[in-house]
Amino acid sequence: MEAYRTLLAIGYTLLLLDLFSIMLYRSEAVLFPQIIVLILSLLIIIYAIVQIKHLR
Amino acid sequence: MNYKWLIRRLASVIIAMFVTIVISWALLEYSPYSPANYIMQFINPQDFAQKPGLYSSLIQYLNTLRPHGNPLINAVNYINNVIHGNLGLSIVSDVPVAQIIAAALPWTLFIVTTSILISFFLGIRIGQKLAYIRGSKTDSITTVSLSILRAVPIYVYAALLVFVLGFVYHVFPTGGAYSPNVTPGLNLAFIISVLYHAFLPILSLTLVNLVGWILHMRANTISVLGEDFVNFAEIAGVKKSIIEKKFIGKNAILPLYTSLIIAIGFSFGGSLFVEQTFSYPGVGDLLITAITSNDYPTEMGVFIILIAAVIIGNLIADLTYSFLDPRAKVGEE
Repeated sequence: MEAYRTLLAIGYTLLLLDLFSIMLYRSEAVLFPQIIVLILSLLIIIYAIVQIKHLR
Repeated sequence: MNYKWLIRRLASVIIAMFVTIVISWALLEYSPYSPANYIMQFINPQDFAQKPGLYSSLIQYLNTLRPHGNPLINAVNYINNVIHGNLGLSIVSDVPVAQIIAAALPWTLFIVTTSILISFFLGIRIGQKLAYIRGSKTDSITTVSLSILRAVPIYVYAALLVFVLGFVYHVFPTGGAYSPNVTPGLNLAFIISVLYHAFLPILSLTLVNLVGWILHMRANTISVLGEDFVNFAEIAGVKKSIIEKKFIGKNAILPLYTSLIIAIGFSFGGSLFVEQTFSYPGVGDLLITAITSNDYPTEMGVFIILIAAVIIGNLIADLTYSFLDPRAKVGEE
């Protein structure tokens, strides 16, 4: 259980950092890495949530 | 929802953030190396022979960069500014620190997240395979080789890759995040250029993490292989592929998720060397530039944003977890 909580924390941390960057710096040059990190962090969060729900 | 736990958790977050800001502020503010010293080395008084007034006003400005006034009031002012989202201006470039960090952050997150995920999934597959052939010649040779590779520091990987694949064979670019000949945006040429430039930094971080994941997964799988439930499943005639995937793999991987957060911290540290080696415009490169030029506001800004993200990320994870699985009853005694 603790393992998936850690995974969830990682996903949220990456998402928060990415959102911070998206909100403060909007440029065509960094749009691609911002989108990739957004997708990956959301995937990590969704995977962790699915696994936690599956454990119930 | 357990409100007592929630209040306690929020209080611990506020205290952790407060302590982080105060410690980072005090360490950097009272360091013997002032940003004024860095700027002073580029100033020659003889260049100002015609304009002595300009020189004295410059010196006056630089002296304001040195710690002065009541330290308590300074600390309170700094915390107040941080709470209001004002991390100050970079002493070197005179641009808001938050904006500099926001511009550098996507590049670091991109290479760190990608390399961590690639190395993690490759590592667990290879580690599991090695555990099944434990004791064989292939396993022994691979494990010894990996143990040696584990001791190689990240900057050695980065330097070797940039030297061999960049300077000797010219297969990959030796610096930058994308080619200056492409138009930035969501177009194919730019995306290919970004991936092409990120290949070597990602490969360096992946290689150094991969070895750890393989050895960790191999050890975990071997320990799970000896468990009673695995023997019972084999006796009960459960398919080998199901035992490997659902019985062994799922249990062996669990401790690795916990190590993932340490690996991310390690990769952020490693990105300092990687970004410096590949001239990649991420937070690591920014931090090294800030450290060498004594740019305290930028240094403090990087630390505060990274630590705040980890603390708040953990808080949201705890809240989500207690919401998703009420059995956990987080914090209840």
